[in-house]
Amino acid sequence: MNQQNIKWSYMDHWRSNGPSGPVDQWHSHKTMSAFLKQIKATGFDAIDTFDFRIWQMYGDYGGPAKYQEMVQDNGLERIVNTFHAADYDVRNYAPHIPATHEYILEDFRVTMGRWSEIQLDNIIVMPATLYYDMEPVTEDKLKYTAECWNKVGEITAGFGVKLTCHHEFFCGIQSEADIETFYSYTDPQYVSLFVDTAQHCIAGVDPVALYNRHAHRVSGFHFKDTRNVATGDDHRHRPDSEIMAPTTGKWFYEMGTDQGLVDFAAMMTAVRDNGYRGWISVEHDKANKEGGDYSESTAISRWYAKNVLEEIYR
Amino acid sequence: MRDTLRWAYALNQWNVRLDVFVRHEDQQRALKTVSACGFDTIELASGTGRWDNISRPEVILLNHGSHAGFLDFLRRASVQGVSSMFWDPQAPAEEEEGYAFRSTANPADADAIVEWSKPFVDFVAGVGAEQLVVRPVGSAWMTPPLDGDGIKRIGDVWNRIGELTSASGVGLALHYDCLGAVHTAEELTALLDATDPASVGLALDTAEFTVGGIDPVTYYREHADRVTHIHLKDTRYADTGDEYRMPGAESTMLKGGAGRRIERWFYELGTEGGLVDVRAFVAALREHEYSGWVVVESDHGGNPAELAMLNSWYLQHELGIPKS
Amino acid sequence: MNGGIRWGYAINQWKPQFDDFVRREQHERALKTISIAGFEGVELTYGTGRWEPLGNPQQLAANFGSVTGFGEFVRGCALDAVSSWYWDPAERSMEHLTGPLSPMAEDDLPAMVERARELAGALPELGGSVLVVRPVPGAGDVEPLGDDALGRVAACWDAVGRATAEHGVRTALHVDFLSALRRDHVPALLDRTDPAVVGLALDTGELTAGGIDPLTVISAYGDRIAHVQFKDALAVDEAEEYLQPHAHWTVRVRGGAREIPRWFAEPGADGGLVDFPAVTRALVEAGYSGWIVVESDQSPHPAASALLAGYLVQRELRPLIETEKEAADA
Repeated sequence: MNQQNIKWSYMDHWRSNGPSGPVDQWHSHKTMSAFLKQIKATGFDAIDTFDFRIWQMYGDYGGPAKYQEMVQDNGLERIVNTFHAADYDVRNYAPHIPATHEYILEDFRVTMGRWSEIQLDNIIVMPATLYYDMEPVTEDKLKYTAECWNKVGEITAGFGVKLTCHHEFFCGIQSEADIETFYSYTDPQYVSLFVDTAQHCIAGVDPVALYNRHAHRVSGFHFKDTRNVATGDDHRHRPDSEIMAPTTGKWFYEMGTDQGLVDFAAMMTAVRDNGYRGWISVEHDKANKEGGDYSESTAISRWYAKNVLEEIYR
Repeated sequence: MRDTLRWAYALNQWNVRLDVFVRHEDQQRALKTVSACGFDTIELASGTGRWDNISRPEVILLNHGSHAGFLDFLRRASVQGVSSMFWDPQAPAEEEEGYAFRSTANPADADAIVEWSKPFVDFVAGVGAEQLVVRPVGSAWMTPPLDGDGIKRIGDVWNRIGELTSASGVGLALHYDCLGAVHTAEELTALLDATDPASVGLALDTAEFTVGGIDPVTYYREHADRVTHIHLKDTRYADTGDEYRMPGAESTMLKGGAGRRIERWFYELGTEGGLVDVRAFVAALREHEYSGWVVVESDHGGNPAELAMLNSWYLQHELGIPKS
Repeated sequence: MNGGIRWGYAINQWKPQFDDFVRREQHERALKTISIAGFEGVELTYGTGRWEPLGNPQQLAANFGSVTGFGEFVRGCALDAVSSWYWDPAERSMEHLTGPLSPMAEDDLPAMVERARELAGALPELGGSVLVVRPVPGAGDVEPLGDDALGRVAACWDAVGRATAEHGVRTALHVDFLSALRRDHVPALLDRTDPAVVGLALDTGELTAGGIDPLTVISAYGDRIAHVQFKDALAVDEAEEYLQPHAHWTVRVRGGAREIPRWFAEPGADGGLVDFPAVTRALVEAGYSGWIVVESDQSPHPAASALLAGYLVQRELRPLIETEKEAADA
């Protein structure tokens, strides 16, 4: 283990069974402690989190730095990335609508200030509104969106944090062609790509090929799996695709699941061949749907990382 | 776990109802969870019928063809082997033993129990496990009071089975539990005295001892030479005195809260308010250069994966044992 | 109709986390469960955004085509009505791009009235008749309510009450165990409001957890009770932890210093402190007519909570009402 190229981070999502039903890890100091212990026990090195958790970090732990100390007390290195879950709305917060850009930029100035007491690697965004709020996806809209993130990336870079884009299958920029156009307009210095293996797979985009094309500007990964590719209007289902698409009650599964569609061996080989060094984040968003269990999914995914992926590259 | 002590994990906590933990993919997920937590060896627990297909020797063999086939199944999940198997001859086995209630306290049952042990002895030997871990006697509330002769008769049954395990190259370990008719430290010592140290040992379960009112560290220090197997788990409660005699104590005490609204008796290591001094116990094992298996378990205490992960965290970060 | 009392069950227990209970089939199963447990109606809880399909009229329209469409869905599950809507104005609205509203801020009044009007406007079509509101923030989150503050709050709810009355909907003030109204302010506020349009929502569990016997409230304000919620309390906040800031999180959700695992459960739960037959009898004696909405607040097993509560209502509470009525008639 002298030369470790890859370290594993765990992305925030979590539920456990409380006395009145499911709770997340932010429920209490005890549930947080149990969460961090479980993550560490299976061999994760760090965690990722969400922007909206910062309120609980301030309210319950005295801020991100203090919270990170608790993370470290449990044997984990630090908080690596944060996911900026914005309330996209064509009235005031839509990257393809220039009139809303100043509001978005101000949001990031404030957000980055809140995080500035710790050093993050990435702030991750869904780069577009919901698909149905952006369609038809035109070249102009992609260009406006790129301009928006170029400016946001400049702000985050000022805090030493990369702005990186995570393409949900239900967001406005999810097809291969639109992703390519979008990156052709963004500045690699300010806008990176964050490859979510399941999201691309659901959108019918090969995550390995996408990664290989853009490896020089990929700043991280969500390794998670899926059993379904979106069909018909799944990606533009009103009012919601992520939970409400009629075809599929549960899109996401942990890496290492049976019947998974992501070719993780090919993905890890590509990670190795592109000489990537750094963090890979493991995520299993909504693992508790349809009878699933976060603890078990976490163990299974880390088992897979250790027994399959680390055999390819570590 | 990379340690001088040998650590294993018990699978019983996954098998909480008759219709769960039957499908192979569910078992694979449990095995991978155990493996991800740093354990590469497991303990099995006996059961009955076609839905206890990772519990009953004959059914395991039906599912996997052979001992080697079962070991291959484990190794798919990076679990290398089996430390031990638990068996309670007092628990009626529906299909394999004709649903007969038998007890080691009843001399008329002795021959049948010895006969029943054979599939277990064969299986334990066949998969390369070291210990057949057994419940030496039924629950106190179901058993007439035992005098010295009664304990001796129980010992005789286990001596006979001990001959079988020895002949097969495996150990036999009597597992004290908090409801058993052998209840006090004196009774337990009498039972050990009634058995042959060459073939019969003690399985010391830290939580069961504590609930039953016996201090596991003290007892271990006094009887280290007889202890051949360990179950490491914690509890937050001890029997107030006579709760183990409640009719139907398996339900009324352990599941029914003993009238004290105790929702759960057994806990993971490091639990808040845990009564077992795990650190001192493990230190005592090291002092005596204990060479058997230490099986971590949490019994039927909650979410199995969560408990396995918390147990693993405790070993790694509280006891400082590297995972690999 | 059991002498003017109708039984409903509250939907909130099915949604423990923001990403739970979003899909149509889950709603259908919950409503069918409520129906077969013996209830006529369902109470909704206000919510916002696309993962709150039952949270407000805009979301109902987005999901069911229209409020009427949702009414058909409810009736298709063999329920007669949406009895009521619970609304805490401190909840933001993504649909209106507004943050928390306060009944104590005069500037918020127009938006408060408008929001209440929208919720109340949807209710008649769904067979409902009560807008249940959180009248003031938690005690730890506001300055003690003086005369001026109570005056503003009363004026706000009177205005809201008049607006909902236009739709035939009563506004009912729901005093929870963290409320700044918990101790002495209920009378002070209630006496300042117009009985024609503003009433009280009696929540057995919240009152009991707040150390207030629901029977004394019924005897003092029986004629002002516009809505009833039946849930059980498993603990009492004797140390008055509700006075702490953010008690919603620290006390309600996390259980306070004693780490109470659960404050509330469905009526009749093991360890429950509320005497439901006595409360039911008192309501009948006070001449209460309207909805009794049963709830567990949150439950590890929502369907089981609804069925157990249904058993209690069918076997004990509903027959008790009939007996009381017969005795009164005789």
